[in-house]
Amino acid sequence: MDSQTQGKFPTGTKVVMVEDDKFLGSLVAKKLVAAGCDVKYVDNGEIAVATIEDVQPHVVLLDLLLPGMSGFDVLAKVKQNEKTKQIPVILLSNLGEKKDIEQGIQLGAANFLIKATMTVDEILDEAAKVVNSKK
Amino acid sequence: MNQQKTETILIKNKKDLVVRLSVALVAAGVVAILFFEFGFYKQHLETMLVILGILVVFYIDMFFVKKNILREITTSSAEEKSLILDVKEQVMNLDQKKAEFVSLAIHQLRAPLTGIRWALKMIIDGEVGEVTSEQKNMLVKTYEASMKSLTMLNELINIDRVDASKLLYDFKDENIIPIIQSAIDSVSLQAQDNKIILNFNQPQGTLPFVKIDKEKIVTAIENLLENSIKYTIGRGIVTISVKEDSGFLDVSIKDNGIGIPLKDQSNVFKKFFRAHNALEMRMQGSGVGLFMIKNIVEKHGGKCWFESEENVGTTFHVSLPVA
Repeated sequence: MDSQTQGKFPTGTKVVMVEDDKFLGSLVAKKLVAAGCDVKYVDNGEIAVATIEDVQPHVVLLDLLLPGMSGFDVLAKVKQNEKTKQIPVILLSNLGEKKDIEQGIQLGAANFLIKATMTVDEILDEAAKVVNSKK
Repeated sequence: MNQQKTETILIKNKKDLVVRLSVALVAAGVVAILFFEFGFYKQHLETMLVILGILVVFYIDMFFVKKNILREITTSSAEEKSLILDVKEQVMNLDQKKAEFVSLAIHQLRAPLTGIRWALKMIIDGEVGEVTSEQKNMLVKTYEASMKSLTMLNELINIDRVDASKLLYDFKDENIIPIIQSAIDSVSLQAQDNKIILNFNQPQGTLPFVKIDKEKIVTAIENLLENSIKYTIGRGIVTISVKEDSGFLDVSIKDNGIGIPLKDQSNVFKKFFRAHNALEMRMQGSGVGLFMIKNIVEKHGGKCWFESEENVGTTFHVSLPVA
């Protein structure tokens, strides 16, 4: 386990990471695994909805621009589904217009992070904050 | 109001037509006299042909001006109103399309930079294996360059946003105090790192509201504060004050920093301009901040100006009309 990320997440934390840019996704996933999380990586909106219901993660990191179903649509479906509506979803995107952030929060996102302005460690900190606040 | 404007345009065009007609008639008269009375064409045939050519162009141009005026005259005021509304709607649609395009372009430009930064940071931190100190130095410089590119990209995005039509501004009646406080909060860490004290002189009584786009004014004040912090080296003081003055709220940001040299003062609000002393001290910046701030403030019907003395300090003022 990586010394920087050690202890950030409670043992057994499950994370679903939805990101169509495989390189970016792999970097975040690598850090999450190093932090001791059980990570399920998905690069498609439709599969993400089913995976979230199936895995019941402690937190979802969700990109917005995805092939097929957009991140906003995935978020809406997750929040409408009784089985998944309590799962916190953090939007992670390089879109960052006021209207995008407002739409995300209105749909029930726990936070909206702009990838370009953050490091992977900061993203993990935000995810850990959300997971720990639910405990 | 719209009808008045249209009438003004018509009157202007009518005058234009009269002037053109008069000039054309006088010119035609002169040509005719030269041609028939003095037999001028015999010696200067080429010159005469050029003059005739110019007159033909003149008449064709006039024909179209007349046609346009007639079209405008036959347009009823209701149609004029609907035309103006159509144009307004088209401008708004264009602005919207431009905003969508820029938003997508931002995303596409940010994505590769994000990957570069994230990967470099992990390599620098030794998360994917040991790196030598020489390699680390080079990687750190590359990481800093990627950060600089990102900052430049964000600043260019901001320019585009403030260049956008006023129609895209979301004006609301707001209390300026929490807006200033929010800008101060967002730069407080930067001030702490630079050992700068931030003082906010709040007014005694209550101030009237201002009609503003909150997000844009926060951006403008944040940028002014960041400048003051950046250009005040070591243990400086930045004082923020606000007062009401003849129907305007005047927000001032005073520092005891490096100041702006007199020879550069007339250029500071120009896009991409950077003062000589800032360049000599190799301070990072793109020179778009003040251009952006002035643009934002003026879209609110306000003013932005400064007083500065090199090596003494600078005070920037933003004045916004009371709602």
